[in-house]
Amino acid sequence: MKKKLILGLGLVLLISTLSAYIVTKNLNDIVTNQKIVNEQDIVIGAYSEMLFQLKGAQAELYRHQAGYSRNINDLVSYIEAFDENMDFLSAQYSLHHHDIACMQCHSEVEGRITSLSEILSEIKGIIKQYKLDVSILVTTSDAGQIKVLEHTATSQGNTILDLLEKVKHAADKMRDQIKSKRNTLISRSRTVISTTLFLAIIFSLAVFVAVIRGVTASINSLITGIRRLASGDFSQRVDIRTKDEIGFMADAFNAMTEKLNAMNKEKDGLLNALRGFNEKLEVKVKEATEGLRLAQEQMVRAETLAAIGTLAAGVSHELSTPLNTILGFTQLMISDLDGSSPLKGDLKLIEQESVRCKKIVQGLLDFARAPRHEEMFTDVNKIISETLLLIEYQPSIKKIVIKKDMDSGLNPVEADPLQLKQVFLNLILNATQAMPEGGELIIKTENVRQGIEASVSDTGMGIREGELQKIFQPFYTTKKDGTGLGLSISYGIIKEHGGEIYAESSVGSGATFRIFLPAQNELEKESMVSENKSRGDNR
Amino acid sequence: MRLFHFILIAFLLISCSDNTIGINEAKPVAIRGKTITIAILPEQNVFEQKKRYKPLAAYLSDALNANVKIKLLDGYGSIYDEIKNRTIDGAFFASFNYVLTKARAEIEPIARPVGMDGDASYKVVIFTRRDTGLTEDVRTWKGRKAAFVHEATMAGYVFPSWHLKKHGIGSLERHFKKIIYIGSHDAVILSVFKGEAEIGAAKDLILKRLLSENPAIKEEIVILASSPSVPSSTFCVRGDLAGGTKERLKKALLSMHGDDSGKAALQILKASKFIVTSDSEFDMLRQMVKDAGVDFKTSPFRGR
Repeated sequence: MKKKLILGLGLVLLISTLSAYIVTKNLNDIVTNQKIVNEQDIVIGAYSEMLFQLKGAQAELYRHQAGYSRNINDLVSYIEAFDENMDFLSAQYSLHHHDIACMQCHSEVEGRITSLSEILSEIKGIIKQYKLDVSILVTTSDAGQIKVLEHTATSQGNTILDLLEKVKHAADKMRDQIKSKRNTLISRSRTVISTTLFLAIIFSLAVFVAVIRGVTASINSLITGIRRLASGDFSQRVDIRTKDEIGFMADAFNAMTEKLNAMNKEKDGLLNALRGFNEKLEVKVKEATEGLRLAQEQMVRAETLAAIGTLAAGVSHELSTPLNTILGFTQLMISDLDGSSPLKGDLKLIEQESVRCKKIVQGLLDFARAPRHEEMFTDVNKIISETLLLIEYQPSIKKIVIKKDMDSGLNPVEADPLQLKQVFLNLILNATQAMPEGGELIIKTENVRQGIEASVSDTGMGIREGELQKIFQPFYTTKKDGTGLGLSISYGIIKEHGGEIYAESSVGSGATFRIFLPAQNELEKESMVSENKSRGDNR
Repeated sequence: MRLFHFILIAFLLISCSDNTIGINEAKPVAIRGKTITIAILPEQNVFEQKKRYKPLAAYLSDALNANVKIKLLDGYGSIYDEIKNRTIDGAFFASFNYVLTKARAEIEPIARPVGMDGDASYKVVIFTRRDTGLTEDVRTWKGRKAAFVHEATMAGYVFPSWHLKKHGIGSLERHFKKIIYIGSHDAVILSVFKGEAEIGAAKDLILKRLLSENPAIKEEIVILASSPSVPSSTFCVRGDLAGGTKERLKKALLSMHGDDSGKAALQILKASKFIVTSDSEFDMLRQMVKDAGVDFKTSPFRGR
């Protein structure tokens, strides 16, 4: 840019200098011509003065001749002044005669100057004699000499006047010619100066515009690029191929956008990764939150169950004694009555209900009882099979198709087999009760991460969503003769084993109860297997 | 880059430079209100004479801060008239004409130039050509043709007349066969040398110069009589000229040789300086004039 500006300024200066030179030259020509005109005016003025002076001298001479005047001072002064003008003119013509530069331009004048010089020389010769005669005239007292000299001087004076008139006329003509030339020159110079100045302005403007355009175009291109870059277009490149500062800036800009583009792509990748991570994190947080919520619910439920258990244990303990008393006395009374007694039926009913109450109390005591951890490596498939053997003679099971999808490679779990059997018995009985008109009972086991999962599904009427939240609570039942403790006890057992139990259901499409039990790790498993083996061996 | 800056600055400076040198160099011309006119009598070449006096006029103009002009008058009669008419303020007087004018008008001598050879006075010598046979005895001059400068000069009338009278001859005109008045001392000497006249009288200084310039003349000319010394051309002013002007004029002339322009003017006038001149220095001449029987009041001045 600097180079462009310097080049532009240099061009403008060059044009200005050229214009100034042309203008100056024309002005110089005008001034020179005007000087010549002025000189010519002065020369003509000198001729006029000389004419006046010589005429004055001649008049004085006439006055002398006529005896009217004795004033020789005026006579001498006139001639003296004439002489001074003569010297001036001689110097002037001599100067011009040898001025080669002047002659080059005014060659035709040379002849005139030469002829003028000749005439002036002639005048000079005559005036010299004229002065001598006048000098003698004013000093002599010889009357005869005075008369002769007066005549001679007068005659010489007249000759000089004639010559002067001629010279002056020639000088006048020359001045007119010079003036005419000067006017032509002025007119021509005016045109030249106007044209030169006009062209100088036009050229300067053109150079200025070219330079400004050259500079601003590059800058504008760069600004456009910067704006696009600012708006996020990292693919923007500036096409400036100049080798100046703007070119360097454009190269730097392009390099910068290249880097920014690469960085932007990298950023997008990172952003996408972050977004994915974030989404995953959100899911995990959601899951964790849900888990936490469930855990909280379970904890609340567990706390509730614990409290109910404690309460139930106390109540059961207090109720069992009077119940045993009622039952005992009721059975004594029945045994004491004959078969036809009308009370016997009522007492039988009391006995039945008392037995039922005793079962409930026993259930409550079982629920509140501290777990008996007789854990051992247990095959869940085997537990399920044994449980199914217990209920296969139940009339309610007749209408139900049992489907087993048992993983033969199911890992053993460390658990109390009796308690697990109770859990599965509860779940299977609940399922059969949910399908009074028959259906499918699907029992499935499989290995899952860090444990096993067993599920018991039915194709019954299903459980409403609101009920799902409550089914593991004690004493919550939808059955007429249910105690509402089965699932609560099952829940407690599974939790006691470090597992999870939960139900999935929707109304009309059955229900599935899933049980997760943690498995032993492989090493423990192997050690257990070997321990069992050795134990068996010991047996 | 520095060169570019230099050229740019030079260009701007040249563009802005002052081109009015000629105007500033012009010296102001003093406008002097007072004019002092000094008259001189024409010599043989009046134009050369005026040129000689111009530097003096210029010097006095500067010294007095006045326009000092040189005016050429055709005779002492005219000088007298113009002094009376107060159209001139001063004039250079030949000795005899000073005496005549002083007797009729109030003039005051101020100073006179000293020649390059130190002469501020002159004598009049009467001379002849060697072959005329004339001797210092005035009786031998009887009936001869005489050439004099002018009848109203010390050399042309006063001394020859006084000398003849001193030797018992009453009339100059009657003693000589013919007297011609030639107008200049040179011409008188040359006319005697050429034989146009047998006896002549001229200033000794001019004769001395001519003799030194022309050995042939020296061989031929014989001096017969010599006058006492009288002051040569003396600058006088009008008596009624303001005292201040008179004194300043006197001071300027007397100190001229101590000033460069004054020295140059003196050189052109062929003088070394001006010296003080008083009226009493003309007493001897006055006596000679009286002895010669010239009437101070009626005797004509030199010139028309």
